[in-house]
Amino acid sequence: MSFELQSKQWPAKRALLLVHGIGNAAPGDYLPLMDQVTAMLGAEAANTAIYQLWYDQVNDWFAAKTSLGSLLGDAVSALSTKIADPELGDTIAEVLGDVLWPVLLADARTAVREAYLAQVKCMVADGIAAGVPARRQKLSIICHSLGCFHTYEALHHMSRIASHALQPATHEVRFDNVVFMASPVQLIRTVADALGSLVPNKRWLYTVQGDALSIPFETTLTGLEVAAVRRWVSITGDLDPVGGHFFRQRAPWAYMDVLGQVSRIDDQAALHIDTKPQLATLLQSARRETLPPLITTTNPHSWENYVRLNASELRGWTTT
Amino acid sequence: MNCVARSCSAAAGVLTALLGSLVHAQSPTARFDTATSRNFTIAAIAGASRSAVALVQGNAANDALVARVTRLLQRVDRQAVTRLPLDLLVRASLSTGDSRMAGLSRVARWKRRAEVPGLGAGDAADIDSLRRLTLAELRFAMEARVPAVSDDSIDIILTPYTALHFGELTQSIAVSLEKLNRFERKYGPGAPQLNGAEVALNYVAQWLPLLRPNADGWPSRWEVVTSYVPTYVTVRGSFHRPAAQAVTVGEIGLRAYRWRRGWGGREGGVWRPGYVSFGVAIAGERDGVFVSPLQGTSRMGAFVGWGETKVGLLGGKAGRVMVTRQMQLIPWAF
Repeated sequence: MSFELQSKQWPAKRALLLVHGIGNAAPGDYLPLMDQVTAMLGAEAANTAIYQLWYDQVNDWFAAKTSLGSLLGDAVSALSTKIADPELGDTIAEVLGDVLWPVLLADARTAVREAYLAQVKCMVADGIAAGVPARRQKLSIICHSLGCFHTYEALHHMSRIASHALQPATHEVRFDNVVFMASPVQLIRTVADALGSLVPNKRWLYTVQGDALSIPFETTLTGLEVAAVRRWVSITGDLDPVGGHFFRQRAPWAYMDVLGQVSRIDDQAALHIDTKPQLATLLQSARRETLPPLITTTNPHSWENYVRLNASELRGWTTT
Repeated sequence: MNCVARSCSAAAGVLTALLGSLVHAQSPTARFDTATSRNFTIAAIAGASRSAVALVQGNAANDALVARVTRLLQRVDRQAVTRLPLDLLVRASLSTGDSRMAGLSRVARWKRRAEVPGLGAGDAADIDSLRRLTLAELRFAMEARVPAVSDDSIDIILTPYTALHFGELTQSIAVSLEKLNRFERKYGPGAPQLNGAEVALNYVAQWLPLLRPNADGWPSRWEVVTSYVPTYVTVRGSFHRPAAQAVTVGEIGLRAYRWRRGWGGREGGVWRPGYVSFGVAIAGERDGVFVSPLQGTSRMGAFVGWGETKVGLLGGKAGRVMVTRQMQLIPWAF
């Protein structure tokens, strides 16, 4: 089955792209999330074209043809030593292993990035077709987990490569908001550094480039720097290891802290996870042998919870 | 001086004409008229830039910018260039070949000579610079102008550039989908499976430029293959009493995917497969199933695959011509 893009009629000048993370998402899945997002937008939902990026189909191509078990083993063991927590270390390392695999396959990274860019191009073109030139489009992205990594890569690539027609200055494509929920981008950067030469094609892996993570921009002919994102937000929970928190302790090597970002850390006490073994059991129970993890609302990594807990601010950011 | 005055006069004329003709077509709720946008010529984007210049000149802060854009306009504003359709700039990315995806900007900077049919040396670079300066610096200057230029007016002036952008997006989406189509051919449900050794070799192969995606994001057509194949069949015996004999062969080589439409999958069938393969074949001293290729004095040769059908040739005194079919007897093993 060929890859299919979502094309929508824009009701106004606003569009929102939802980029899911690890999980077996396909069109029709994530209905509870859509309900949360619609509720979050309130009356503005009717004025917003909501897109969703489905890239699990692309993931499946690579999973079916390749096996990265032993390489992921190296990455996971690198993490276990870094976490250095006898109660949580191994469990968290295994959970985080699920978000590391694209680093090791250049083709997989490239294919997902291309699917991502194609969907963004389709969204912007839909807006123009509706009479809203790119410079007037109110674009937002909300991404979760591994989707944050693909978002980071896609934003940097579109800012740098003109042929995608998505540059912030030359093509006037700028995102009002990009909201990263439980972002593993810094964690992937750290592990990729630890893996060193085992990571292929680093030249086109933006996560490991520069002296720190950054907001992408394009430099104009007279030297102005035009950022691709106006508001860069990071939201994570204090119990969510993918977001760089190991039982209420922030790990600077794993937490995404981009210069200029708006940071929010959710207090996840309401989940009633009081001990490390309790958290380890919960994280383990979400993992499945041959299937992607099943993240429910009792899990600190739940996307729905992040949207629900931050609905007020999200509405403010995405509707103004 | 006369030239500047003439430019200003022309700019005012173009602005009036643009505002007059496009106000109705580009009201905030109107759908973008893609049919009309296809009729734009390069003259339209030159006119848009000229209109923008007319609005911001006179402010000393914009002098350098206005001078730079005016110089570009003077170079571009020739009948031979301005009469060309805008679509030519959109299609510029195709002019560098099927496996590249260089947009106008890259074509313009990378090779200044006539990669874009109809444009002379430097024209593409000039148009690209004109576009960049107009959509960034000139637009910012229009937005900062006192009295302000309204958003709607800016949108109307820049309509030809919006048309160019829409055309580029449309083409770029098609290119992205073609890339994904190729990734699917290489990795999707109909692609040949890799065994464990091939997964390891292809992981290492990602460090070789020929075997990894290129800078434009196109997948490599090449893949390393290596396999232990106990299912080759040869024919021995006399002409009157032929007998089939199994031969076990070790292979190492390359698989090349064919991207052409009509090749691969059900559409291509047996005659037009999605991939071909070739490489070195090695067999043990004697024929048979599950014989080690290193048994006794090994026989060397070559294999060629046409889709799933493979033909092998072993040299030496006990040379063989063999055939087999691509398959994985044990998943991930061989």
